[in-house]
Amino acid sequence: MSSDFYQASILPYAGIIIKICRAYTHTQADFEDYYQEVCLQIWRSRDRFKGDSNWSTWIYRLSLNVCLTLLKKDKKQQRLNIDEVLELEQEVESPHFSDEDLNQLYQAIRKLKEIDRAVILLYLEEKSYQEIAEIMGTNANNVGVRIKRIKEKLKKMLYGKVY
Amino acid sequence: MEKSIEDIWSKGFSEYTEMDIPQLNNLYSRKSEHLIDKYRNIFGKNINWIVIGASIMLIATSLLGFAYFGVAMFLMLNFMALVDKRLLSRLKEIDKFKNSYEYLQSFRAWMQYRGNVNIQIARVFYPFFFLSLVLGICFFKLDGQMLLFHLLDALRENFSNSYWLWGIPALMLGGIMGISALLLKFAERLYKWDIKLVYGEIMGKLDDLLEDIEELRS
Repeated sequence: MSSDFYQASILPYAGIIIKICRAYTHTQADFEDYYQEVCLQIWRSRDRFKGDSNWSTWIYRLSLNVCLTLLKKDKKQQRLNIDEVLELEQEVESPHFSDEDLNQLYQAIRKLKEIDRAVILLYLEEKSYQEIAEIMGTNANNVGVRIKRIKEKLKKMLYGKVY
Repeated sequence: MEKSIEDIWSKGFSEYTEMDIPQLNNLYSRKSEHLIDKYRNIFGKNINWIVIGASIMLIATSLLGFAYFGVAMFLMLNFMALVDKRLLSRLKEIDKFKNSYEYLQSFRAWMQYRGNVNIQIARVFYPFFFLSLVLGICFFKLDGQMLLFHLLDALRENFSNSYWLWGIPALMLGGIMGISALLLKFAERLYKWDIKLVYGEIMGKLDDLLEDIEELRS
């Protein structure tokens, strides 16, 4: 990967990548792995970007795909190695952000289903329902219903009640 | 007061700085470590499987009356496992705290060294395997007599006019020697094919990774 490409095409979107990777990982080490892999995949797949969508939308889609693939792979590996699962459980509580509320929100997001995590991340990044639908391969109505349900779940997890 | 998730999100990330973004130079460090760890695990497991396989082979061939082959393979495979074990300890000595590029280069140099050592062994192993198999078959007892004698009797009846050397048809002897010579000649290719089958994926990733890093460094 060239340093120029990283600086110009990835670094401005590092925030997006970090937010997504954090939602799918529990430890700092895993987060760094996922972040690395996403950056490398963006670089390797850059020729496949045809300009049909925004570069940022493309990065979202690719980051989510990479994270979901890695998560699936990790789960498979963890099933084979119970020691790693126990080690992971001990590390789960380590906070990632200086803001305590954000840490709690992330903990709640990580308890959601994998696809729901992707949807709520896109929503929180102020993507329109239409954009989310395009990224997730569904329709805007479905996204709206899903977001409402996810927000209720998150509030329940954070405050223990639904409004 | 309860905050909305949108507020938590925007407030939380408003204080986020570039300091939290992993640096480009560190991008490959864990990837390199993982790759080499993965290789080391497979290599370590393979050594164990060689020892287990050799032991099973020894027991099975002894039970089947094919012990000459089993003993020869047991000795040879254990020798190979011992050599690989020493190679593995050299791999463990590679300094993890070097930068990713140097770490991967050291790993590649080790792979090269391992390849050279194992090619030398393969040159002995493949012909040895074949000759042990032939001897094992010859010494296999059938109706209380070695299979070799049954075979020679049958050959004497059918090929009495052919040229015999040391009590064995020259054609058969030539065939055995020819196959051994071919195995010796193609040992390196066979070894590389064997290695590609087991470690091909990791080696491909190593090349990709080094290529990436080299491009980054240029």
